[in-house]
Amino acid sequence: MSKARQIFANNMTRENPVFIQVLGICSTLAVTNSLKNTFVMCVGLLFTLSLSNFTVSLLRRWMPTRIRMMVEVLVIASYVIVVDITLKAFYPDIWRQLGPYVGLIITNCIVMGRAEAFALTNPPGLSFIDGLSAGVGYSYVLLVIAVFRELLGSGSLWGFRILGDWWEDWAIMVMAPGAFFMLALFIWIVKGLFLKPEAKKEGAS
Amino acid sequence: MKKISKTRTRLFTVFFMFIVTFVSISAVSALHLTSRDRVARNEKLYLMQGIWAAAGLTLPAGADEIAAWFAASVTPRPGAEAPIFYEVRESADGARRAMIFVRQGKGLWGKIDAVVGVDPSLSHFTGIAFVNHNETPGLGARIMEPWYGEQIKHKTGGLTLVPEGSGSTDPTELDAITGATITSKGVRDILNSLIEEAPALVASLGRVTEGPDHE
Repeated sequence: MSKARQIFANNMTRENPVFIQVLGICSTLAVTNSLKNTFVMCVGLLFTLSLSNFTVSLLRRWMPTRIRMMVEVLVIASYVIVVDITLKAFYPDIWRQLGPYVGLIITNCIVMGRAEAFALTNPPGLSFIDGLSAGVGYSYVLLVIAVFRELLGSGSLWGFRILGDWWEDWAIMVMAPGAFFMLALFIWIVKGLFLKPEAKKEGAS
Repeated sequence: MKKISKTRTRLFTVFFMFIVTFVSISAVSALHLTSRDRVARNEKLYLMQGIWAAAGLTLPAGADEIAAWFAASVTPRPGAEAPIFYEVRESADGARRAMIFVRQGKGLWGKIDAVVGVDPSLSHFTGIAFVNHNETPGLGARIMEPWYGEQIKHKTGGLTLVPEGSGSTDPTELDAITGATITSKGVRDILNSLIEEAPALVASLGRVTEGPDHE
């Protein structure tokens, strides 16, 4: 159990997929200008990541090495389509807002990365926890960025106006460059303030 | 011996891929089939909501209420493929309220499908709703915001764009969206072309087919 806890803690901090491994940046840029879209994207990724890790790990003993990537993509794509169809059927408004981004979870490097780096060599239970924690590690970074981008860019949170009429919206915050600035600031602050002692040790891995 | 095992490995690889593909496709197809009706219902409801908004009706309404209103007050005027327009009548006296057209225009990332209402004399717009677009969230996608659709009412076509926030009441001016010029132009073109073509479209109806009439 302690191993599971360690995996979880690592994915939150020292091996965080977004601000340490700098993976999944496409979606970080694309969806974080509104909190609601970010939240749905994160739920979709959590679902896909944990279950695809679990499934790949289940199949790992029989999976021929040379076709492993084909199988992984197939598994990942199936889960993403499940998310897409579910949103389309039950949350059509959110599905419409997210547009193509849900489908693009398939190409999110974190999903494939965890399948390759972890699920292929670890049992299903641990792989599930690894996927889940990598997903949570991704999600909280995105949600923090989204809070700032939506607040500064649109003066609102979750679509509700928070800042008064005196607030002039920063158009740059809703565009992709705003996401780069926010992400860079985030990495700078987190690495500079919280991860300093470990920075040298982890730098090698 | 070695040859046989190699063939076996290859066969197993193909077999394995086949099984995994078969299982995942079956699962996804099953989900698609079970949710198909629901998805179709959603799309239909979405179009009805669009027609509702384009007719200039702003009351918040539930799904059942919209479906009942659609059945009672809206007549699709069929064209060769899709309806040329939807005719909306007042529920009280059956007088014509608006003609609703489904139009397509160009946005920044792709097509914009709009449902646009024009008054019975074809002189001004009654409202607009966007049923499909791929514009940037926070920029072009702000065409979905209520103020944007609201300003289109009573505009007469031949529109020119003015900066966002102008709140222009001039019937030939349309507030653009800051940072989304291409989207704003796309919508402007949808509206301008529609008001020009509307009389010909309505006139073509008689030549295509005679729909049921309430008058």
